Order: sequence, then structure tokens, then C-alpha cells
Amino acid sequence: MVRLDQVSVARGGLILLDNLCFDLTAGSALVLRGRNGIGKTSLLRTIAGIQPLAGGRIDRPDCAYFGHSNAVKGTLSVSENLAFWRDVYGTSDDVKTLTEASSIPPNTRASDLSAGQKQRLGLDRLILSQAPLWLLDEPTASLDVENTDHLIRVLQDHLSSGGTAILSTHIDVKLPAKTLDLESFEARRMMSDGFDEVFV
Amino acid sequence: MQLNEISYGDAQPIDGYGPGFFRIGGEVVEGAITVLPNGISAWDGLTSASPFENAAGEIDFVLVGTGAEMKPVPQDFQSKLEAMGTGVEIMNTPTACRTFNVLLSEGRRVGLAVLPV
Repeated sequence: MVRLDQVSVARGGLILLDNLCFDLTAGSALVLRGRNGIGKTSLLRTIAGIQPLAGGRIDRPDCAYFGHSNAVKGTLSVSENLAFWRDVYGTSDDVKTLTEASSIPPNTRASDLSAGQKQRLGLDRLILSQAPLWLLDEPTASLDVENTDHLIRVLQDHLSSGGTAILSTHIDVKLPAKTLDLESFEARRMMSDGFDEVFV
Repeated sequence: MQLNEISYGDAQPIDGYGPGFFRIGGEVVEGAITVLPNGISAWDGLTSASPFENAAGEIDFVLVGTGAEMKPVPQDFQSKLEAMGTGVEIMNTPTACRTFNVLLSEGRRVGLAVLPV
């Protein structure tokens, strides 16, 4: 379902990861490990297509990216946020089902939510996306035990319905997932002249 | 909120930079450069204050970009410029390029002297 072949990942003109290859089948998940700065976020962004591929090839289906900011609009209510994303993705999921399953009142303004509640609302966006591949960057940050369990349940549902997920996290998640330690793919060399240009 | 397109008039902003070069007006210029009211020139670096002599009456200060990292400049270089009545602002090259464009768009009397990243 997802295949990375000899992939290089760059950040700020420096190749961070090199020669990365893996295959993920439908229904499986991959947990990215490695110290801060090794390139977990850059790899996820590269797979998502948010930043250019520095080398190699990526084959993947439609994906939904869940980054450090959770794409929650503070001036909209919880249900308005979800309705917005449902319309963006053009899916027919019922926003009401999602808000009923959550402990957050649907009419709360998103700016009044706690960091953990925003994170959970952001997670609901992934469900609405109906994308086969989920890319999650530190999804457990700011979550309490209850919401971490919720995240794991959501991920399990996604996997058991044939989805795939790649996530970075520093905690041990109870998921049937393979772990990839990025340490062994670390690279340190400058990109060739001309390619790495910053536009002011 | 209103967003306005920036107009630089006749002045030349920095379009971009990369390892060893700058891009100005779509053209790549290699090495260290000065961008002054009389145009873009190659620059011999932090020991060379002479390019600023002709521009002294036309600019109030020069943004000096010291490369990828901010570094002190030779005291002699700074003294020479200040003696011409030109202020010196030291910063790293990316910051100098960005700041230069903003000040230029405001019509400020500013020069740029940058070492490549």
C-alpha cells in the first residue's frame, strides 16, 4: 500500500535521512523512532508531499496528515470545525456521530478547548478524511491517558478497516505496529549547489 | 485585513540565496556582493570598505550579512563605514536579505553587503 524506495529526506539544505526503504501493507502501522531532530517530522512531511522529496521514490494512496498544529480553527465551534473538514474532504460522514462519541460539547468554541481536546478534535478530522493512509506526527503529545486510549482505538479501527498509518511517538503505543528506528538512516551531507535555494 | 503587493520601484530586491550564490532579478550572482544605489557588485568581503565610499551620501546604513551565522566584523571595517556617516548593522546573511527587502520596499536609504551562505 505504501512503498518507500531509496528515499532521501532533507531539511534546511541538509540531507537528514538517506536510503530509506520500506513497504507497508494495508492494515499495518509503522512507528517512527529516533531522537529529536533526526528527521521524523521531515520524513512524515515528505511522505505527505508537503515538502519535496530529496531523492528516491514514494508510492502511496491518498493520505491525511496530522502535524504539530492540529488544523483546528479557534473561532469555529467543535461541530463547525468538523463540518468544515467534512466539506473540504467531500465525504459524507456524519459530524453528529463524532461529536456524540466525544466528551467535548459540540457547541464549544474551539479556542476554549484545552490542548488535549484540540488534539482530539484534530484526530476527528482524520476520521472524516476517509484517507487510506494516516500520517501522524507526535499524536500523543498533550493527550491524557483517556485520550491516548481513544487515539489507539481510533487507530485500531482505521487499521482493521484496511487503513495504514505511519506515526512518530515517544511513548509505547499498544498497537500491532512495526517500529522503525531512524538512527540507522541518518545522513550528514550538503545538497549539491543550486538545488538548495531559499527564496526571500 | 488588507494585503498589498510590494513595489520596489527601481530598486533591486534579493530574490533568493543558496550555497555560494545570490539570485537578483532572476540572475544568479556567485560569491559575496554589495547591493547599493549604483548597482550590484562583487565584494571582496569584510576587509573591503571601498565600495561604500561612492554610496555614502545616498544610504544611511548598510546591512552586513556575515554568512550562515552571525559573526563580528573587523573593527577597522566598521570604523571606516561609520566615518563615512554610514551606519552598520551586522546579522547573518538570510536575515540581512529578508530585512533588506522589507526596508527597500519602504523606500529606505539602505545598502546591503553580504557574504554567501
